[in-house]
Amino acid sequence: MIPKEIDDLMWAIAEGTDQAAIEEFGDRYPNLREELLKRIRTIKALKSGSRLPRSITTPTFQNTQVRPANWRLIWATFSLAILSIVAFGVYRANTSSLPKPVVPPVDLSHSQLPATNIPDATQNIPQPLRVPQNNQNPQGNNQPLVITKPPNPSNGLKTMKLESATLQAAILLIAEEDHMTVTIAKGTPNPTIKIDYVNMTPMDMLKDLGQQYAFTPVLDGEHAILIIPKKDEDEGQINGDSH
Amino acid sequence: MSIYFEGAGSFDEDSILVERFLAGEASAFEALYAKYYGKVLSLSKGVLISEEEAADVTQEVFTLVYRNLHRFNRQSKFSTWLFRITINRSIQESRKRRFKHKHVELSEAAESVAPEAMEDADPRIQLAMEKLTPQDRAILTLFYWQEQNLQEISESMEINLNAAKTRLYRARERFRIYFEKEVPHDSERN
Repeated sequence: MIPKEIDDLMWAIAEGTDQAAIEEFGDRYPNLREELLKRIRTIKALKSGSRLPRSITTPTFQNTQVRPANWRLIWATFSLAILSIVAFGVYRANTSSLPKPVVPPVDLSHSQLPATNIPDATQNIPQPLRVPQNNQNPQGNNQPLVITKPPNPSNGLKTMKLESATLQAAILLIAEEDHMTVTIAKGTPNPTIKIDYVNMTPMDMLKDLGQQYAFTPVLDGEHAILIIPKKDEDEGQINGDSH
Repeated sequence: MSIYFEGAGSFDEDSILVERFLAGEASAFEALYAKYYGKVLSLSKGVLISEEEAADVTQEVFTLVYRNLHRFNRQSKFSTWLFRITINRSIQESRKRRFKHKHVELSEAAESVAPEAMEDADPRIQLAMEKLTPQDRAILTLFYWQEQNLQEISESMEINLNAAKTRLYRARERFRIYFEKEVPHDSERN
């Protein structure tokens, strides 16, 4: 076992190039001469390993796609992003605190009646809905009131001409124009009539016929119409002609 | 061992080149690249043994430096920072290669060294180096090939001075053991 100080000395001599130091160490420690030579050989090998090929050439560095960082630009972009986020936040806060727009009243005079309780259609036409004040819905909370008008199947204007048809057949044809099914109550008159409607909705046609032949057309759901006769009407008015 | 210090002029030159590059002067980086390409290649080759892989790592190192030079904090020398990146990247690559080629014979590894390198280098050195860990090769390369002193090595490897000294000593011992096994005895030579 070589003492540490001798070991360190041997490495120091091995790493130097002082021939006299090598000779002196060999004279002083002849038994370690061979060990010193091994270390000199080791150091020489380690240093010689650094040699690069003679033909080494420095290739051209290619990194044109990457530019050095421009911190001013980065900070400007970052600041702009922060400002945008803050501005959006302020905008959202302001818009959410504004009073909700007042929804205008919607005329629901043509709204449908419950299918199970239609004793007198003329009395069951509901009053038009009106939006409560302070923009509150009927439940009293502050949720905005959204009123959706039920689909009115009679919006489309139609032209209908019949030279000779029974009243009930005419009602069926008119309702079919609006893709509606018709239920005609018992007691509805059925004279032979002539019709000539131009640019009218099927519902208006039925109402007009109802005035002439004593019945009331009532919406029954979204796609059905009830035809209810007026019992107290004077049947003598029915003369079989229209327009 | 002659301890190598970069002169003050060289340090200033590197700092100036760094500042010029960060100010947008591309030619300043080319000057740094030309100055340090050989050293980085040599250091990487010391860790990786294979010159081909070392060349690839060298390109990656300079790409990293190009992209991240603004992160250089100037508390150490540019060369120390550069060598730190080189060592880390080379050790990383060495681990990947060990995983890929763990069954490759050492003789095959020695044969994979470029022909030009084989002309000059003693293959027994390559074999002994191959048996060391990448960390051992890194510290030996920094000390004997790059001629860095222990302080610079401690900064390059991000370890303290005493740890650098101990690691260097142990790495040198391990190399000696492996090298002595490869070197024929005097009686065998004759």
